[in-house]
Amino acid sequence: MSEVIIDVNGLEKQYMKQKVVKNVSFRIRQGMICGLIGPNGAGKTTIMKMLGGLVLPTNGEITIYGEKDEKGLAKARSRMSFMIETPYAKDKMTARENLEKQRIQKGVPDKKRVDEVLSIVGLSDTGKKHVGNFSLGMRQRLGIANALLAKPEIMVLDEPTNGLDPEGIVKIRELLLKLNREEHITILISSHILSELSLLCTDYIFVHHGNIIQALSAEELHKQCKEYYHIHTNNDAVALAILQEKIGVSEYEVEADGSIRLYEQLDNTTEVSRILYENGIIPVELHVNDANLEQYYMDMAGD
Amino acid sequence: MMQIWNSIIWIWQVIRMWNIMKSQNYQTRGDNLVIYGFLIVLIFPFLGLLMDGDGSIFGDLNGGMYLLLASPMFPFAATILSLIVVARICGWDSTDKTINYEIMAGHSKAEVYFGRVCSALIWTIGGSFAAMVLPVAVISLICGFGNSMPLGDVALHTGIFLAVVFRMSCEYILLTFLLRNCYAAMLLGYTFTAFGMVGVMIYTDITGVELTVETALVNMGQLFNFGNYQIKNIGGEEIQVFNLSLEPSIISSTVLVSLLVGIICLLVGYVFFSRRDMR
Repeated sequence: MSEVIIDVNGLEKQYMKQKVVKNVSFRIRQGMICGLIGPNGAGKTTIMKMLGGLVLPTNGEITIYGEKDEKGLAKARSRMSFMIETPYAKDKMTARENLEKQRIQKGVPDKKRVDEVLSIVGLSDTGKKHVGNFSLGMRQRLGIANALLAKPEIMVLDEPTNGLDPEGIVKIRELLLKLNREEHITILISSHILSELSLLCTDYIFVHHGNIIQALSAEELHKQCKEYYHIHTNNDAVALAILQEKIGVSEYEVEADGSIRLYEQLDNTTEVSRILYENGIIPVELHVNDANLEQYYMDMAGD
Repeated sequence: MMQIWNSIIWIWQVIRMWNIMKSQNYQTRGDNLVIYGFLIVLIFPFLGLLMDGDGSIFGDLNGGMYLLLASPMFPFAATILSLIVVARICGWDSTDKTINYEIMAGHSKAEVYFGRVCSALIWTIGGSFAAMVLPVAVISLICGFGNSMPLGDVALHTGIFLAVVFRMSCEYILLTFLLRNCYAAMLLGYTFTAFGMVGVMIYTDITGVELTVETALVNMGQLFNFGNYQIKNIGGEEIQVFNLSLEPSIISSTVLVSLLVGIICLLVGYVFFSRRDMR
């Protein structure tokens, strides 16, 4: 298993009497693309701000690259980059000037790096246009360029595709995938566009009302969201044996309560019901579950 | 071993603070508001010359005379420069939140704060010095310095003046970091300074009681109040020679108070900055 690079333990943030982040714990491993999913006000941005050092936690501990104290965390953050909320920029400066200023403060020695990242995000030809005249999408791309400037090992991105057109969203997704695969950059990304995350992430953390309600890998989530025929009868074990004998089912799972998830024969559910009935099995629950990521999240958040 | 490691960390932090100063320098050099501030600072003292009656002074102008006539404007020029430069360097990035990038890039709050403080002080003190000395130097090169102002005393006054500029800048730094907005800092800084001065004058007028409030602006005014002079015969010519000497107690108290107030303001500003969440 790959190295844990971010370890969050019991993280909490309280403003006056309101707790906006409650006992949050998770781990980010090297090479992950981890999606942080939750509605507005769930606490995603606050969690990212605490990782970035902008907001001091009320309780809990953050460990990044093994560093826990303030000085160590500051040093660890120099290996990371962040894009949180709408990217900040000097409106009276051009894209190049904004990045040049960031290049200097980050201590990036190569002056050509500014042109490189502008080219990557497609802002090379903005010339003398002030950032104040940029569209939201252009500002997002500038934020991503800034995040790439110091060649980070971890990127923390808060809704990076916000305001981008479909082509822009695809380009950013492809860029992030490329950075992850080729340069082994670990990514923590939040987004409302769940379908977009499903094309990108290797792991998911679901946040609701300041709590983590679930953390799972893409594989586990895929299983949860995969369409299946839910079968619960008066005798599930016998029902399974009958289905295996009569129609040779092999793609199934037995849940904790004994009920069956059948991932095949989904076009043939009538036949499945008939076979069970003819063999004396009384169905209690029979239905097709077709949850996608959004439905899965809605069901989970609704609970 | 621990001490060596701590020293390495400290050196690393100083280097990283230097990066913040360089980035602030890059930004400030292209900042139109700061450029206008410098122009005002350069032009302001010349108003002192223009206010001298019929402008006949220009015929007898030398470095010393320029200093004599322009010096009452130096405190105001330094105030405006300090206000604008400090607000821009210490407050502009808070206004648009670009300061957050420095925290997220791994700079400690101490680096972020003191990097800006050092940058602001260099610009305000260096700028005030340049605004004072450059015109004097240029005029002296053309017309000579003259004998009205003993040069050594002028240097002493300049040194003390810069200590007071340090104090004033630190007060504005504290205000700017408290407000976290460069425009609010400029407005309130100007308001406090103006009210401080005008308020004292109004109080004195109304009550008849002379109120001495040792603000930085008042200190600067005292330094450039060249009232005492003697008529001396120098090279066959009768010349007004101004007495710029200062009591040692005034020198020490002004410098000490300036440094003390300045350092306290910086420390209080840092405590607020380090303990507050970024916006």
